[in-house]
Amino acid sequence: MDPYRNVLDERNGCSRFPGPGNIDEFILEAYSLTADTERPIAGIAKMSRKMRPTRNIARSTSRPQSTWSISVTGRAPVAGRSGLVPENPPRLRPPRAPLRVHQLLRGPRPAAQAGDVQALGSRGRRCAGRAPVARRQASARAALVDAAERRRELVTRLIAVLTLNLLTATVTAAQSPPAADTSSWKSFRDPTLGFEVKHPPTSGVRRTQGTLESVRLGEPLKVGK
Amino acid sequence: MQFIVQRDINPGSLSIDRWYADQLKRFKVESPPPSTSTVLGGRPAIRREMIGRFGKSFDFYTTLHRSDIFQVAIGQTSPQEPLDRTYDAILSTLRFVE
Repeated sequence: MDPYRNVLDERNGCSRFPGPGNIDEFILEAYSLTADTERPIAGIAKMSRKMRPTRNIARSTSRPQSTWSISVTGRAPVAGRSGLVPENPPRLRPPRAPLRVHQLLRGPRPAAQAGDVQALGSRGRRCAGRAPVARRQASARAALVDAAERRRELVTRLIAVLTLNLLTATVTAAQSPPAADTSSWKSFRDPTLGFEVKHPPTSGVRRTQGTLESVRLGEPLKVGK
Repeated sequence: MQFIVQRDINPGSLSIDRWYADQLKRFKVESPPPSTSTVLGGRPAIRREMIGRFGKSFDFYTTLHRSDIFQVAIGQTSPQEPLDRTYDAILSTLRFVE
């Protein structure tokens, strides 16, 4: 069995062609049949008359019982063959409901469709006829309770974060070594070089002369030693 | 720990950042040692760290007078350790008198 047989019929149910002179009506019919699923096969109107089947099919509401169709397989034509392949009798399908124009224009997303009228006017005025007063008061009370709960939760989180930060700072301060106590240090002042500095009493100071003017501080005793 | 004054090494009275960048450019230093901006004696300064054969050296540069550069050079034997806290405390007591 030829697996390419009935390709047109499988795809869009328009494998049968009318006789000469009816091609425009046929194309219109093909579009209406496939508008909800797929585009009709391109180039259908470009087929030469030689490719069209010789049997004329009368247009009617019932499906025609033609036994010939054109195989659209892309294979090279075989010499001596007409290019037509025998076709099985068409399978029974449930009839499709005819599509209306607004259904054909509908997009895939549930967006507002053409023709939908945007709501105008204030919300309170629009909702006046729908929600009773008691229900609106209950909603307002619920919103207030929600806001209060949210505020309470926020304050709780803030306190938790502050406590955590304070705890971290305390631990860090406890782990860091004590700062050097400079209260008992000696002061050295050199107006020529233009600076003064404090140094531990154990470190010696020596002025050097030469190309670079400098003051050398002897290695002090380390803090904590 | 050594406090050094280099006279007239900044004749253009450049800021310390620009002077330091100019020195790197002048001596064609392709991969300069890591340096950061800091404060020394209340003035903007450059802190440079280098690891050499004898350990780690910390150098601080800032401007002094009009055309001088004030430098503090500190050497530590351990290349892995940060600046000793005693040196840090000495640096924090530094003041310029002009």
